[in-house]
Amino acid sequence: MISTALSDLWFGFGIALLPQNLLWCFIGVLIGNIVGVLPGMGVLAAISILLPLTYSLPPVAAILMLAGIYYGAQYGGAICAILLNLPCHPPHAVTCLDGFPLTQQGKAGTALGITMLASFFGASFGIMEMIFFAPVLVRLAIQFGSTEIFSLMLLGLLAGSTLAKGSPLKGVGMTVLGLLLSVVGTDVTTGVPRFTFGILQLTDGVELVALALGLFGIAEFLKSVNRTLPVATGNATIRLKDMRPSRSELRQAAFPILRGTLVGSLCALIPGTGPTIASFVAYATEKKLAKDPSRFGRGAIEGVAAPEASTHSSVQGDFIPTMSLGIPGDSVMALLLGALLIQGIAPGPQLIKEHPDIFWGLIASFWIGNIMLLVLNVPMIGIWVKLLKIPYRYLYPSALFFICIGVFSTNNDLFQVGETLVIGIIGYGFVALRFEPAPILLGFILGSRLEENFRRSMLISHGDLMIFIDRPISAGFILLSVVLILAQVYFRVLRRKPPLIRVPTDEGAFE
Amino acid sequence: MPLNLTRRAALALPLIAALPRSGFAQAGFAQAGFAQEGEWRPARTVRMIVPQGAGGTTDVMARLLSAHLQQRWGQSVIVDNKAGAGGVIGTQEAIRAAADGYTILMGNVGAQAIAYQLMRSLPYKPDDLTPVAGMIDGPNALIVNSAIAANTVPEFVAYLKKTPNVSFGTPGIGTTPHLAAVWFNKLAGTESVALHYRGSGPAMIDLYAGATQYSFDALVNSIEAIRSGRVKVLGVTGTERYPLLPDVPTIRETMPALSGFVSNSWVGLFLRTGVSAAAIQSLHAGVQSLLNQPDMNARFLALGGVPIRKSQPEFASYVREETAKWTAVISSAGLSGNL
Repeated sequence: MISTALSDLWFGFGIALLPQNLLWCFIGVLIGNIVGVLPGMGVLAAISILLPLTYSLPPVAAILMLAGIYYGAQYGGAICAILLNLPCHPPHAVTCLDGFPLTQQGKAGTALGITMLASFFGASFGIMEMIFFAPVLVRLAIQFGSTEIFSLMLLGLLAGSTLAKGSPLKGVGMTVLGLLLSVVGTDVTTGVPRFTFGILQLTDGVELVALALGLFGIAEFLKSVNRTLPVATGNATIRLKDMRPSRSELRQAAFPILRGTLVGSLCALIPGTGPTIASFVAYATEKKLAKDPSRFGRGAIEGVAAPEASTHSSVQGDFIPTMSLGIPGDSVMALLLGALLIQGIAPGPQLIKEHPDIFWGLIASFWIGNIMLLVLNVPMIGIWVKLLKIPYRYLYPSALFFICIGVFSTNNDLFQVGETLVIGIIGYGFVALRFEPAPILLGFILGSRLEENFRRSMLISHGDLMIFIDRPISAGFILLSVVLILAQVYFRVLRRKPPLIRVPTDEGAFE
Repeated sequence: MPLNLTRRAALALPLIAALPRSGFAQAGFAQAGFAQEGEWRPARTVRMIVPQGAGGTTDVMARLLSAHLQQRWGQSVIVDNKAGAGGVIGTQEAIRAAADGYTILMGNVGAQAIAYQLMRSLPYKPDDLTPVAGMIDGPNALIVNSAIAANTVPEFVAYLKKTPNVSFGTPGIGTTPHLAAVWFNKLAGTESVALHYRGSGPAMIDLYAGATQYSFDALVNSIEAIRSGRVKVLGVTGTERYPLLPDVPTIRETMPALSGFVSNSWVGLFLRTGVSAAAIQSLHAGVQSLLNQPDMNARFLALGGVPIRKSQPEFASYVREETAKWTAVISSAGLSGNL
């Protein structure tokens, strides 16, 4: 199997390296990278704007370019998260948690360096997975029905509820708030609109991009609105060697990158999960495994490395169910399938056999594209870090401007811009009261999936809760959840050391 | 050539000509059939509202047509995705626009036929819109989990009658696949449980795994699963057999009780009421010149449907019939005002 995969890959490189395909791949990753840096400007919007351009391209070039935008954007996305606490795309929201504190400590270059490394490693693993294990993984993917997804989401919620630094009680409170927010909108099971107050735009729920940018971006902006100095003054001159992570930092990041990659590649297979959940799970895993979890949220390098690696491996792995089953994992993948359909190619189980040029050409272009991105971004780190030297009074209003455009582009509607503003003001209240916003996002993302899949499972089993234990994969996740709760209780009782509610430290709100 | 090339298009021209398989663009340039003298044509940018997200069939249709109209008119035609509330937000936007023909709506069976009876407080009524031209008519397929011991529709109906608690997946409440299943059960005198998903992808996975037993799914989503044998297909919901699946019967030919059963997901062009007849005619002619391009039948088949070649009044009465049909199905199933 491996030798055929290798010869197919060789064939793929032959296609991807044609000058014309190489050019479109480069255009794709370049556009993606730019889109990634702009706050809120979604991949979805960028791809749909460029879709008409691909009508005149041969199918291979079209798909290489559109895919390049998708994974290219992930490289850019981490930059604003780390430097400005702005999650340009939802998957990078967790990167803010430790990336921004690192910037405040003058280690922005290191954080970006580690990010690039983690991204490339994660992506490479995702590609390898696609080359060698796609058929096996597809068999696994179709085992994930409603029941399995519910149990997985339950585990994710339990593991992630202690995501934030500071008071665990406040963290749980914020998670619950996120769960409640996810209830807004039309109920999938019954069609009843819930908490929409007659506003049509709310029937599809609260917009994730608005929530992420409001809670992190706008809240951060309001918090520092009367500050005049640049973000960090310590790093006026950044040389290439400042960006290179030290040996000990690399050692610290190595295993988190590996674990993050594995988490990401698993999440990619399960329809409806994808990079955002992957990055949250990776962060939570690192915090659980850390000897000293209190470092997280205060500039832990692992807190940047793991989620970034998982985002990238998940982004590449996302292509597995899309390309080999024709079942898109998220809306971006659905759009890519649409692009293939316009070209007269029906994506599905036969794609690899009937259009090997597309499948293997795409995979080969992933390698090429990721190398291009690395070459493109590493020299740019110095320039990005210089962004921080711009005074607040110029930097944040411009960021705000891009946030508005980005949020608008999610649905071409001003409603989302207002939504972001309202969420931002509320988010500022939370920051002032030292409530961490990250668990809201977690609760929000997992909440709707948890509810929907639970109710579907109940319909499938006709109300029998045993369905979650009768199915082996689901039972495994339930068992892990139980172990997690027991371990939590055991350590709490045994150690007695960490008090239930930690006294908030000075950092956080008004510096 | 009366063609206002934008700078970008001019730059792209040599590129397009250099590409070996740029079928669409070349066909477009050669056969767009430019608007005839005296025909209504826009003097500035036209906005085409798509009440759905990018990537779906409605969006694909809008992008095919906008590229075509752009060449025909020499005027920009911008596709504006206004998704939300099952197409209501985009439709509302089209109705609020000025009645000058510069805002057109790429509508579909959901917001332009089903919604009237399904939604509790719809901010528009059928008279607010003028149907202009049909684009694509896509049948659904009745697909069943491959472990189910039924190979024909009558066998399947017998299976439904003797098996309790059979469930079907849908890509959402009030979608044609959902209502088709409701109607099918009504006509066949059977009962099953509806399981709603967010889109047809996750619904398909539960069908593969046997958590649900069957579903009506658009051919564009299911044809590859059918061809690879992952699911069994028992019938298609069109009036005629689908050219890519000539051995699969239509459901209406399988049983007398089902003889009236036709359920297609269609997409078509609408204008708000009050636009001049000249603009309606020009748009209709523009759509026909796209549909009559030689490779369009094959292209549409790959998109899961057939072109709707109807005159403007024919299309308008088709929309009326569809609205009446779904209104009856929804009210008899007790789903009125459900959303």
